[in-house]
Amino acid sequence: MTPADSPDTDMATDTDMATDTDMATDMATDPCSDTATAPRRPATAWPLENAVFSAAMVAQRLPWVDAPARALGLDLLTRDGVTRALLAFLRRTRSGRPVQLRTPFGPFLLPLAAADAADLLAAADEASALAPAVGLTAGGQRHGLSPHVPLPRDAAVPAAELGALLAEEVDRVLAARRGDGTLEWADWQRGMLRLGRRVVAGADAVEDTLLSEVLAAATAAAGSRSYEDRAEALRRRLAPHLADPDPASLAGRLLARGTGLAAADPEAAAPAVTHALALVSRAAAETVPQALALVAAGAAASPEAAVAEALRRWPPVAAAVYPVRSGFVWQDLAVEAGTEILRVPGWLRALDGEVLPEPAPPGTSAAEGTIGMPPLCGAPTGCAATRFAALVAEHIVRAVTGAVRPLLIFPRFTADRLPDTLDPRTLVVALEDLAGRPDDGRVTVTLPTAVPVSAFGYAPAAYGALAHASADRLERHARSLAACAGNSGWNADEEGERYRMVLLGHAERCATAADGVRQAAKRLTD
Amino acid sequence: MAPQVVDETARRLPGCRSPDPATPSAAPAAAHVPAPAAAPRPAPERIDAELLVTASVLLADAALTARQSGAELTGALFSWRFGLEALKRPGWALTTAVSCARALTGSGGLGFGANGGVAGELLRMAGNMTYRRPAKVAMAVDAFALRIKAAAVAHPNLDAPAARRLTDAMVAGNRLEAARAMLALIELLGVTRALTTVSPVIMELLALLGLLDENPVNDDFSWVTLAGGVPTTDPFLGLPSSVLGFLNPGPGRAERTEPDPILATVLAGSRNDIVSYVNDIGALGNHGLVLLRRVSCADGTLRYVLLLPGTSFGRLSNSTPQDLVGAFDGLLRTDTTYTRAAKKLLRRAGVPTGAEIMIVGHSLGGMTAMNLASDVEVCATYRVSHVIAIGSPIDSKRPADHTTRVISLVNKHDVIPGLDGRGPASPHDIPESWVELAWLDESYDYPLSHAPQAYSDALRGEFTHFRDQVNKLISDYDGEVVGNQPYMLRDK
Repeated sequence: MTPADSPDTDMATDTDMATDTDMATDMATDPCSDTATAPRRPATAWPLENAVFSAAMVAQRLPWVDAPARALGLDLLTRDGVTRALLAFLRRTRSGRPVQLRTPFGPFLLPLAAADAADLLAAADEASALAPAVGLTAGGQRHGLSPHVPLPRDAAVPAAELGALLAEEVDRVLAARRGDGTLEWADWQRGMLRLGRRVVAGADAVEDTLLSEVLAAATAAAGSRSYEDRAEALRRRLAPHLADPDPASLAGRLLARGTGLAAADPEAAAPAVTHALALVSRAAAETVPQALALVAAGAAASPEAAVAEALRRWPPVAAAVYPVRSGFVWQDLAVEAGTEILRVPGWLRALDGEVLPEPAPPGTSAAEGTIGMPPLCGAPTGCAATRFAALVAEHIVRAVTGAVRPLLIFPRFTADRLPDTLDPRTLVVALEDLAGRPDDGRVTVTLPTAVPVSAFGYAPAAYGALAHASADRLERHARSLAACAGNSGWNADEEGERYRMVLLGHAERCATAADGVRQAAKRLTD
Repeated sequence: MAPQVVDETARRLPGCRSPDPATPSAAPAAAHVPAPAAAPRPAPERIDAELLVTASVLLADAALTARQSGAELTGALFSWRFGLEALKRPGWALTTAVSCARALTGSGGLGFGANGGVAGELLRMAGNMTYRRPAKVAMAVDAFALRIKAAAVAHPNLDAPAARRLTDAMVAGNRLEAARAMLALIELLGVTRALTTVSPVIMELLALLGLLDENPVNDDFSWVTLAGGVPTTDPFLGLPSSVLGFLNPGPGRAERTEPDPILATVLAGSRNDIVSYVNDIGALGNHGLVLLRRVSCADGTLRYVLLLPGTSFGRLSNSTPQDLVGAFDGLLRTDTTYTRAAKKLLRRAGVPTGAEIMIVGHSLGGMTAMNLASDVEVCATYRVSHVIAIGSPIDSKRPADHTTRVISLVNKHDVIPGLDGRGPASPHDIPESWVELAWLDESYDYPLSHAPQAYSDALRGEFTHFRDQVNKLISDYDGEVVGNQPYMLRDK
């Protein structure tokens, strides 16, 4: 077992994480180190800056607004371009210090460097000054985040056992592919939620789709008036799985005797299990396809690197707002109660430049890289559940790439030009069998994925790849129909023989169609 | 574990694929295709139904692939990216376009196979209106023809000359002849028996109509039926199910009411017995009344039973949710005036959070019971422990809570339960945990075969073992009835 596989190295506690930032925080809040200058209020943005920033956020709700600028090659005038330029300007004119912005979506204190954001939030957390975070969409709409709950060190399923836990569920998802190897987002998500329930809540929970539905509803309602009702429904739903937990699951380990804080108390363990389930489900459903796209594009050499890069580049919690409950001081900056700190890792990454992290040694888990502001959770500092979710995602990517070859269909990108955003709902990755498909037509009738869908806006080569797969399938259908026509059961009467001829006719037509489609596919991929 | 399907009519058609992709039956088609016989065997007297269904599934799959191929090539040809590429490489674009066009129009291959996107759909519609029959349609039509033939094995009336004239005309796309054949069938058997005769293949006939008529916008119904999904459009005009939402508006309302003397008498003798529930539903009638029962069960728990009657056929739409528009709405959608009114009833009656509820419904009531059970909000608030659907097309619906015990009672002469698309020869199956009890009784003709009384008579008489089986499954609800409260449901 590699060090990365060890649960002890993968799963540091939140307390451990907190110590990483303790020193910086102590320095920041130590009154002795702050004698030279009195705390001052953050710089305020000018009205024009506020207006431009607000306009860029409002424009995020209009997906077509970038089209003219992109058509003219003026990337600076796209929404992201404007935001980036404004943030760069603010950083230059405000010496890189956090700036207070006023927008229609609320006034925000915006740190202008990733390190500052981490330090500021760590200091606020240390001073217990923060209320639970809420998510923020690019367009400024607020949404709930799973309330952060520390996960004890020994609760996580060891890496060595994850593979076996996931294998059956991954096979199930792969079996539900369309004939062209792609999966509808809804089917992928359904399979991944099932997998999340298996790992976190146990074998009895895999069929409990309602658990995931109630969890999603509770998460979305976090911070609202209806949250308590939904949280209560979630507790009721989770209770049977915690009353008799599967020892192989995270819940079983959490409730096993001697595991620490929540030992053997289902009620006390419920929040941690809920948080872990929310994060594992999200990582499996959203981060894994992004990581598979990175593998397909050749942008990541290993599952660990793919998941780490996907989380770094496209964090599921793309932006979070941290309301400040009580004032605190950070590096001579007085942050007053009522302020809202806005954390947007994507903006800050773009602002800091594309400095890729040093490649980790082979076998190093992506989970180790998710230190500081967690990409899946609204916690201001580390989150052990995020690290566990990243570990699960790695194992899913490993299991998938062990059985199939991911082929990026849409959007097309290359390793040297990765997109700033990648919505897993619109991402299309075909999963091609390594050993080739069976020699007969794949039966999809009665599967949820049976009805074909039209694909729009793909590059010609992507259509070519799909058409190639369809030509293969048509050829296999031709063979299956011919084999069926050969059955002696059709000998019964005249009608039977007529059906045989019908089947042979269709077999011939499938074979001819396969030739035509293959030729067209070849031209498209040329 | 296989779904518990007990069919007392005769043998059920051969077990087909489970809808669950991970079950062993989801293996590639070769597992299902009877291989060519190695040694000559004596020819059977009749084509085996299993072979017919297998061939039908293979053809359906090939048709779906042909459609997908057409969509991909059409998408490539009319993609703006292809246009951009054409500006850079005109020679490549020309040869590629010719290659795609040949593949899409070759009469021995895909035929007139363009579809998908604005341009593709316009081309498909043009082909539809000029009676072109691309490979996908030809294969789909033959797949439906094989299903109809397979259904005739279990329903010999479909093989009678008059019925066969109708099905042959539909397969040939000759609607005038089909209309004549239908009239002849009605003249021969009467309306109700003619309906009953074609009811096992009604979805296939509607799907054939959608594929072969001149209306190009109703084809989705056929493709979804072919693929085994839940149609979301009507088979005639192709209107989406969301349109029904406009025809069946209203927030739903529940008003407490008192039982009339006849209903009070029936309810006074009612107990936890499926026959009793069916009789109660019959006594409630179809004019908006439903019943909420409180039962102090043997284990000391207070449980609730909600009884939901079916459709009133008097008018297309009335002031209650129990009308024909509501029935179509309940078949295709889950959020209807009936479910909204029923949810208000539960709130108004003060059913406590977390309480166990059993919902029993006949016809539209059964659909509504399943719609309530598939509502996450309802299942998160209460525990829907049982759904009993009597003569209801529920096979395409799924409860939100996997522990909900679904029991479906089906008189196989009844037309209504087959409207969910799962006919005797369709390759779809129901979930493993469901219990379906099906029989053929003496009430052959529709609508008699659909009446609650017909179900009640069957369960009291020849099929009393089904009654015992259901009663055993709902034994948690044994106890003292402490309240029988009728409510009047309204659309607004």
